[in-house]
Amino acid sequence: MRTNPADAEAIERSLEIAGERRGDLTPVIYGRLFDRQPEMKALFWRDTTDAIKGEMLMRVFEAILDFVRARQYADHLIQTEVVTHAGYDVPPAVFATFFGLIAEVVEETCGPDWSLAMADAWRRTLADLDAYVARSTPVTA
Amino acid sequence: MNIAVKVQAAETAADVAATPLEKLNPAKVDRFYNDTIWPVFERLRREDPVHFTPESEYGPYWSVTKWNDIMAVDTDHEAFSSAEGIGLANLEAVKEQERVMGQRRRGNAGFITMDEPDHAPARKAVSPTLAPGNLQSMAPLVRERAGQILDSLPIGQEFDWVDLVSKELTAMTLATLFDFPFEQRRKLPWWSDMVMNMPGHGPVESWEQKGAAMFECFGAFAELWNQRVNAPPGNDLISMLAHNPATRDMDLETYQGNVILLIVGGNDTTRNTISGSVVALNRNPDQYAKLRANPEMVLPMISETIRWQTPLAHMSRVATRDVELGGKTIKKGDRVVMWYISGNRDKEMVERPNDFIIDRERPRQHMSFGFGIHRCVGNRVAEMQLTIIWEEILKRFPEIKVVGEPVLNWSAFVHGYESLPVIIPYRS
Repeated sequence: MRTNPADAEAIERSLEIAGERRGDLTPVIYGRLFDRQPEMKALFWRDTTDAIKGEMLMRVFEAILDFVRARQYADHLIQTEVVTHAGYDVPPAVFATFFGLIAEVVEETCGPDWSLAMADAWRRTLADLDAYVARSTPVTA
Repeated sequence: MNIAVKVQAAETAADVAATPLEKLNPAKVDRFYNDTIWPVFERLRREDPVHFTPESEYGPYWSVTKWNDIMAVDTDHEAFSSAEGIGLANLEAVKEQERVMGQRRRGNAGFITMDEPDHAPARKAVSPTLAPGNLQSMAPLVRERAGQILDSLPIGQEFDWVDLVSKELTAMTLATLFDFPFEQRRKLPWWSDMVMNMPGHGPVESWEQKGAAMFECFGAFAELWNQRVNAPPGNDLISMLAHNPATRDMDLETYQGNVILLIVGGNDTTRNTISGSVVALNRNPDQYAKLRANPEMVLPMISETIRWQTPLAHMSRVATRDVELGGKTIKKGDRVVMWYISGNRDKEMVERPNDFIIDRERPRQHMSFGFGIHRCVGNRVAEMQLTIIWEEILKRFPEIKVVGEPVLNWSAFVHGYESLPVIIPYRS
């Protein structure tokens, strides 16, 4: 089911505010990911400047925006990323964790500007994203 | 760029502008060889981003030339199959290859030419060898070997950078990944060249010689398989394939396809980016000065080179159903080419896309590794080798000077260099 335009607008606005307030969200988002899933840290041993993490996060933001708007590629991309990440032993559950903590950091960063409409939009979108992750090809071997 | 090349480029731009759109065949190899391909893609992105070529040496095919359309195709593996091959195949070459090697399945380049559900388990069989954890333990060895290569280079004397550095580093790394006899490592890039070239280009002199080289390669890897399958599981790619439940029972032709995929894939991206970085830095001395002043810019420089060079110009798919893309209907069974080399120059996604700028805001924004389930499995190995070789170069040589025109590959698939004459004037 496509995201409704009001939800798309609320998510876009929340990301805009977060970007204006904090600039680069890479350190805080990945910091929390590594707190919750410490085994993920070793995968980024080469990334001493955060360049790899930063680009991955930008792609996630772009995919979320495409997912709530035109859905030109993001629905397929999310599913295929589950497959390619499985090769690095990243389980699908990490996707839910990652999307969830993006929403969490965006909410905190928006502070008083975080609205009920934003909260509802993110809740519905996260559920929708989880459904796409769950639908991905199972990797059995 | 010398004057002759400039004149040729201007003629090509005029020629491209005058060609009726329906006659435009972006896969014409001579334009890649002469480095005059850019006006073709500029025109297609502007006038006909999803373009159909009804007749060509490859048969009819679609060209997808803009970033978002390429993403849409690359990530939709249900609508666009890889099972019939991931490159545009010259029809004449297919005939000749069948003559010397017998009939083989179309595609058949290992797991990159598999669709789901077969693809993911087969890819996962080799992923651990190429995953960050294993690369971390390999890095010191790659650094030591990179240092040995660089320390053996002549100073103040012209040599071919492709031969002595680019091929040698990738050969060493591939030999490690396969646990292949190290003294025979140069056979790996040689076999890759034999697979990817047509007679008259690279080391290939005839179809018969090409066929014989491929059979030699298959024989050597059959021997490796037999050694590994009877030994305890190891960490190398062949052992992984021989012991993983998803791949250990594959038929011989599938194994041979995987070998070709890993040899060619492990070779071309890295080797041509190493050469491409030297070319790009020489054509952009301000960027070279920036790198010398800030050696920590190696990583973004590598990413920018991977975009600017785009060592694999395209990947192709076959539509499994009718698909609407960019206002066109791609019919079931049509071949579709995703031109990464064009997507990487899409100005709607990359600012000043034709310029080589090592401190871009988003240096890693490129599509050279592809997207979707077939995203390059060895991308982290490639980046690691490229980073290490440049870190070691900057410790040793203030300058690597290109002293002649590079010779490009005769290919619309591998976008790289046959040779690159350079001089290293002095050591640091």
